[in-house]
Amino acid sequence: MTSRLLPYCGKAVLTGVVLCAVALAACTPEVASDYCRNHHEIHAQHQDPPGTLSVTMTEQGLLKSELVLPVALFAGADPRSMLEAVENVYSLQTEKDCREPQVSVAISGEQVSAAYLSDCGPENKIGQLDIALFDALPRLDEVVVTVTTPVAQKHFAISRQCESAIFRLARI
Amino acid sequence: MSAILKFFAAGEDAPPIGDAAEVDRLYRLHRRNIIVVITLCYGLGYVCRLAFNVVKKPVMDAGIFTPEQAGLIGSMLLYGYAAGKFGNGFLADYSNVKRFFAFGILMSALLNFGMSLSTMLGVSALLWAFNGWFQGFGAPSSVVALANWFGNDERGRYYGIWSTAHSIGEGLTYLGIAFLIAMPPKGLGLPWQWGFWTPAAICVLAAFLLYRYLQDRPQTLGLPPIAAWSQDGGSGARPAAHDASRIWKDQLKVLAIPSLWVIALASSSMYITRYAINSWGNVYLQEIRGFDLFDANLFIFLNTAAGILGCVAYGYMSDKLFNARRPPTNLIFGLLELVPLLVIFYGPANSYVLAAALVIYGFGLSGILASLGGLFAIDIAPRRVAGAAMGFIGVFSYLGAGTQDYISGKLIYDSEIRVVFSIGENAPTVFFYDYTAPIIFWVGASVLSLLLAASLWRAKTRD
Repeated sequence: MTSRLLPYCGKAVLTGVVLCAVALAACTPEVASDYCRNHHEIHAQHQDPPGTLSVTMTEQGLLKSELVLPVALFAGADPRSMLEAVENVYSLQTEKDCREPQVSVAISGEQVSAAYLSDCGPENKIGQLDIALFDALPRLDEVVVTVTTPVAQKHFAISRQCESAIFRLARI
Repeated sequence: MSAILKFFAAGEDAPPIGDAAEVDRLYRLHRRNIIVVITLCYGLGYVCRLAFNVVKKPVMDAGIFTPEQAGLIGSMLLYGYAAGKFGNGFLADYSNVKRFFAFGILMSALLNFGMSLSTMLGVSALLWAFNGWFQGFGAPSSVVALANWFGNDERGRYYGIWSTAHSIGEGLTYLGIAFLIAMPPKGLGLPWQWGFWTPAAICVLAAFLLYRYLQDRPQTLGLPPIAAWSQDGGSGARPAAHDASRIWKDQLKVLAIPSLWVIALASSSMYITRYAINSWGNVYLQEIRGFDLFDANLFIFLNTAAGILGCVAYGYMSDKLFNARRPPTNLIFGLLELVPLLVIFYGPANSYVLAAALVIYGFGLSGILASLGGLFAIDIAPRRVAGAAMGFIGVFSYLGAGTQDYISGKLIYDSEIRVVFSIGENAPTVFFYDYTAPIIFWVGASVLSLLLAASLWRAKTRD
């Protein structure tokens, strides 16, 4: 019985393999664009330095942010007033409310830098940090970000052209 | 239905071969083939079990599953495996392991392929649970083959060799599959789906090799039972399939052996640590230590590669230095597992120290797993129900491992911080996690396992 079935099993397996191959070809997802896929390799060649954002979260519930951007991105708008409005830069989702953030903005030549300090308290949990910079600054194409938590640090770039963060950047 | 059962059932005894030289030749040939094929194919089959661990981080980063959901999917495999290992442990005692084992691996290949097509939590969890069930065909089949073809006085050594399959499979997964998924230049940067397609292809190959080279009981080939051939004084291999009612009664007696319950709990605790490192270790190394996907998996590979030596060293040490007494060797290997584990999580942040700690951890872990995961249990249980004893331990081990995966995922997810960049309708998100609580859970499980294993210092072997 088994020996009579085996040739049919062979054909069934072959058919299955062909069907799988077709399904593989049909279902292979589109790879991210070459720009996003390879950007970590060419990132260091930027002619104009992109914006930089550094965020540090401490065990005491402090969130310190430092932002440096080219003035040219503001397209005639006042960089100081724009960056002093914290909602243009970030907002926090926490278990309890945080204190009103402290903000300082300085313009030096072609660059504007801003520093923010949010005190959320040691017993508070930060669930989400929303960065609104790209919506506030339509000419901003890319920001290099370093986020440090009490246990981890990540360095990556966010590009307007890419759906996800770009990791493994060569430092510039 | 009966035709299917008959297909998988152990064969009838063939007329005995009278020529002693021919018996010797066939025994040597099949023993060589069997130890090679069960070790190789159990290892290859492992790739289909661990695939999700390698793609977990890319899948989490892509926002397809949260750590909690990933933990749930991972736990479903282990629950499925626990059920499979228990049920299949009993079935393996009655089955033609050649067909049984090959079928399990073939189904696992199909389920891996299915996983590559699913981004729905319910579907993925279901597929992965079934994959766990079919993965559970391998270990009992291998142990039954070992019990049928290898005698008492050599079982520790051959069990040790077979146990290297875990490490071969883990190594293949954490290096080979990681290479496919990791970004260039360290890897090929293929989409995460390749992390399932490749294991599926590997498992189809393994199924073929098993069907070709594994053998049913020696008596089905006209050979004498292993005890008669090796003259090791044991009680002999399993009886023929028609003694099924007697096997079932003996199988139930497994549940009345208190030492087996203690081993089951010790094994369960050790499996918490084992699968914590296997499932979350590479994610931890990427998230907290800052390694990329390839390097993180390379570190996990180091632990599994060392595990190959650990298994073999355990078998030889317990057989030769302690006259087949497992408890002293358990203590030595348990400490070799626990101390490096503390160094990995609480030691200096140095890559060389981390690598050395993972190597020693893998060596110790594989050794003690070879014992708690089966060898110690089948020493204590009657040999005719080796598969059932293995299945019994397996249930506890994988219930522990499965629960671990969900608890770990939940603990990790509870610590999640999301950094979300709003770009019109697009929102690239980067996730941050804290592993403090899971690490306490993982290390604590190892301590408990060591204490339980040490409590069996005076346990006696049967047969």
